[in-house]
Amino acid sequence: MNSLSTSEKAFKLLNGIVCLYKPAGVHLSGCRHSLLLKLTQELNLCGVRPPENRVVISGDTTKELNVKVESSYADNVLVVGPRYQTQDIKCIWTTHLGKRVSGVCVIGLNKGTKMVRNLQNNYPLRTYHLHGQLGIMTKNMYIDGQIVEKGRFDFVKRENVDKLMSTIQASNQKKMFELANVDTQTQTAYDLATKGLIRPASTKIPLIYGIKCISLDLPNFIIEVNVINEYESYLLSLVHEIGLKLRCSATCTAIRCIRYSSFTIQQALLMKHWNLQFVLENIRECNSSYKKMSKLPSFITEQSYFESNQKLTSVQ
Amino acid sequence: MSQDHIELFFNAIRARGGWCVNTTPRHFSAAYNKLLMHHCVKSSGGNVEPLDKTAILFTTRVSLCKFEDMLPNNDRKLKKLLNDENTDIEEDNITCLEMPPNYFVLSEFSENAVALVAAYVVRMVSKRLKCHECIAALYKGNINENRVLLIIQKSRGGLVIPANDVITVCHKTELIYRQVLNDISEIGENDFSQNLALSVFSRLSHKNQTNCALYSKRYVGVNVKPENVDPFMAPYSESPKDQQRLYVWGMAEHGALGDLKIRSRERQIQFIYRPVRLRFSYSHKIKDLACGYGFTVYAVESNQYKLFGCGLNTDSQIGYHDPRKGHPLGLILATVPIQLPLKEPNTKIKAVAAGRAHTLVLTNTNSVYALGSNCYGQCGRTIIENEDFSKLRNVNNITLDDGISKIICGQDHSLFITKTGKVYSCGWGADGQTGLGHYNNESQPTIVGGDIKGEKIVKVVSSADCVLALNDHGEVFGWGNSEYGQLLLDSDKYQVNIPRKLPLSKGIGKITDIGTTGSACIALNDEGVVFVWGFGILGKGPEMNQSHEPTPIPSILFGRNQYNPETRVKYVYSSVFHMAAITSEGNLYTWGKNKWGQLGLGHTKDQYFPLQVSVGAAVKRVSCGVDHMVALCIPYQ
Amino acid sequence: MTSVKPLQLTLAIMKPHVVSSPFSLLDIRRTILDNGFYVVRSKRQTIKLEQAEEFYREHKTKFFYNRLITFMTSGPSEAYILAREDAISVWRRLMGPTKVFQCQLSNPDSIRAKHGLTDTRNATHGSDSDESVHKEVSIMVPQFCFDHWKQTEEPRFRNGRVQFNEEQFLHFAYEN
Repeated sequence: MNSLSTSEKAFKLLNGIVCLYKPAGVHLSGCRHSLLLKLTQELNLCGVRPPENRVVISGDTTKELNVKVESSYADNVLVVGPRYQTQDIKCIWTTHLGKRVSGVCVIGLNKGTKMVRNLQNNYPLRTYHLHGQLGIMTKNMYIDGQIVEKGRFDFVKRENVDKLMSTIQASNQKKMFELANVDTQTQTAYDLATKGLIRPASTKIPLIYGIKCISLDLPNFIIEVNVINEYESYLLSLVHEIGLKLRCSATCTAIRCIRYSSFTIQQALLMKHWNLQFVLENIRECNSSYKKMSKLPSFITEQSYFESNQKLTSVQ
Repeated sequence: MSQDHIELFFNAIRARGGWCVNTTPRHFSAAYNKLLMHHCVKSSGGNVEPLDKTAILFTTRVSLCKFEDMLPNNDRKLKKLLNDENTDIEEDNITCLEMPPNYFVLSEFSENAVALVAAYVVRMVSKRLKCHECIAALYKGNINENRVLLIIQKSRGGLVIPANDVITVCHKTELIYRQVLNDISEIGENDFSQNLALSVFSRLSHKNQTNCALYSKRYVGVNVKPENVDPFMAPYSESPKDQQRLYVWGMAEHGALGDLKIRSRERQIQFIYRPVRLRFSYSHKIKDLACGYGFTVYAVESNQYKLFGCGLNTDSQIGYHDPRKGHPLGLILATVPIQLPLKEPNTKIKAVAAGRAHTLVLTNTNSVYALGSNCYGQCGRTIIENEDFSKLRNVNNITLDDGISKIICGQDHSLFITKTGKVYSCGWGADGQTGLGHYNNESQPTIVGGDIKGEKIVKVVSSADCVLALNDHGEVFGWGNSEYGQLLLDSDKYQVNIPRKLPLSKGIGKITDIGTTGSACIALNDEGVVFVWGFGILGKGPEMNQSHEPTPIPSILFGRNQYNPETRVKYVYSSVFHMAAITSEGNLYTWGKNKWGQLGLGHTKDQYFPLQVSVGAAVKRVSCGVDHMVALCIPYQ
Repeated sequence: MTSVKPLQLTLAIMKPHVVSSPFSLLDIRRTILDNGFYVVRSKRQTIKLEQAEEFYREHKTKFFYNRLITFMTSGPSEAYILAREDAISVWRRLMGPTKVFQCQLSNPDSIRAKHGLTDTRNATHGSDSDESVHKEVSIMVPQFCFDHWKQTEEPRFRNGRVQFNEEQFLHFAYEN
């Protein structure tokens, strides 16, 4: 931390988006906690400001008063605790990744919280790699659950999987226009499509934009899925359902988010790198890519988001 | 013991006789004799059903047929066997016979009956045989054997006692007949005897294989390992990862989609509106494919059959196929090999092209074979008036001096690009689509001049009557029909019979791929932007159905967005009524008319802007027919 | 059932590309029957050049005259004489506009939109008036006698005393 002169300078730089690699098996709140803890620890280590002194004016008021500068206990690290504490840093995340999910996790720090909200308004697309294993079925649809069924899987071939993938994608493509409340034959559908991906009107219903099998090495398989409005149990049940449709059973072994909007897994910071230096570097990188994104005409800023919402409500 | 058995027995007798209700003793004995002869216990109607499994004399249709059909074929078979004198086969057979069920064991009476039949066989065969020793061999019978008792009893001097071997052969035949009858119960009534004889013959001639077939019949499709593997846990075969896949969709009524089992839809018009995988590509490595009007041709890398086709064949565009002599098929619903008169057996097929009713095939010896209709000279030979193309057997061979590198079929005209980049054309020229400066039919491939003279043409496209050509600098030329402004002409000219350079503005850049529908054109520049102009469904929404100048289709419709900034269109394709594009990720997008589901989008409504087809594999190339499409794909990596 | 209005005749021609595609031909035939037409005459022939020139004399000056003639003479085509009340207008409505590409957008369910390939290969032809029916029939089916039809066959057709022959695609009128 020698490169940073003071902790104040560093704290001022802690504004923006940071892209982390969340390990599996840890709750997101735990991740946040450990990140903030590490950050504050390091901030505290690299030279905090000295405690402010207290001016003590004492003595008899009728006489000349005694002015003394004393050290203040109210600002003493030993009394009030470390200079930087975890609750000093505002921190929110874009999507709630479940405990079993690993991968890209975009977190906004301090002023970055606003950017995160903007990102959320832009219906960002997430890409996941779902690792699965054929032949077993567990109670909680994840590999650590109690096994309830075992079966054959060697009849599954690549073309069966691909056929299923294309069916899922085709049905979701149909659903996409349904959820957006447009008829494909109309000009509105075209206008919507030229603006970008057609996003669902509601934020509750998961929608798959693309799904494909990228590896099938029996009994293991990996599925790449572009999805919106997803949640952990939805992805788990997706793998489960794929297993059933393949006429055998399947269990998810890992869920990995490899991309959030335009933040990819290459940018993501591993847990061992969650320290001040790397986080600050990461913030700089992510902020610049956010800036690039926000300059695109299709980007929905806070203002345009409210405007479109107002329009919608007025129409209704 | 109940009365039932007696009732059943009388019932059987009545069923056997059938001529009168009150049977006399004579009738009874005749029926009883018959029953004894053909006895094979099975219920066959009547008013009493057996309660338990008591053996009652009954005849079934099966055993009757057996006796009727056995005789005429027997002698031929026998002769064959005798002449071959292949005793090994019989031994094999015996080991086989020891195994499965009870129809391999004949009753004593049946054996006697078989011996009687053998005697008949001996007589019939000896009439035809010329070798005296052979005849003598047939007669050397053993009187003391049990099997000939019936013959001795029945004989009034005329019957012969057949040799032991003959009886054995007849015995085997009888067994096989029974076996076949047992196995194939679904033989049709009308051709029963023929089918029976056929299947018996096939089993006789492949005796060694028959045994295996009998045993492993239950496990067809499973590779049973020779070790003691539980057949129900036998491993399935794996499919290779880089295997080509073929997907088809669209109109199935012509048979252009190959041998698919398709459920009929409303009004019995059969079509498929989403991609369906064909197994054809697994057994054949496809090099090129082409869709014409209602038919599809595949060029296959193989030493035996190099060209396959299916679909409409009323003009012999996919060769001459006549299962019945003199009655060629006009509609072929399965992918069949097409015979080509190749001069050397190791000639390979490089490319195929298909028009409305003709097919062009390019080989690696730089010659083109043309099949199908030549009513406008599109096959490159002299037009014969009132020629009947449905029974056409000959294939025209076209060669050009420069060597042909690409072939293109319009609806009724053909275009050839030589290795030096020149264009030759023949066929219908009424719209000027041959580009030869006149509007007549051309029956000889003739070099096309005009603006393309001296240019190196790399690609020519034509789906209907408008032709576009692309040179190596990315400039576009056009000729033919321009009724809807496809050729960007200033004047109100509808037909152009000489190639003209298209006045594309500088901003469009270098064109890398082109396509034409019947009324519109599509072009792709080196930045991956797709431009369209003309009339019809252009892919820019339902309100935009005419454009007099090239307008871009937003790249976002082809999946290029902030998340996939690298995605770009790589190839464009077009048919008479619809267009298609393949992106760098192997996604296929289609738009246009969708009457028979030829867009593969899962419905039959027209699509007004590019929409992705869910193929389930990375699309390498497609071919658009008038009402169907074929896509060649490889699995996602 | 007896109808009061006399039956009208019209000439329909299945162009060569339809005749060579069994599905299109069957579908158009089915459309004809479903719409209550009687097929009075049905003739398969390859149109000769003189016939075609005579047939399309009125278009002689148009730019598409040459391609129309060469197309019509390129292969076997089928000519039907159809009878129905208002046969001419009904048949023209079924066919749709002449230009296939425009027809596909304006009348997507018409015969030409379904089975036409291009503006020239527009599947079928239909007469536009009574006079042209007379003229065109005399070119395509010269054996047909209008007077004889009117006197003997028309009343039978009108009274429904007809039998349909699937193979020849023809309605036969029988006496009584």
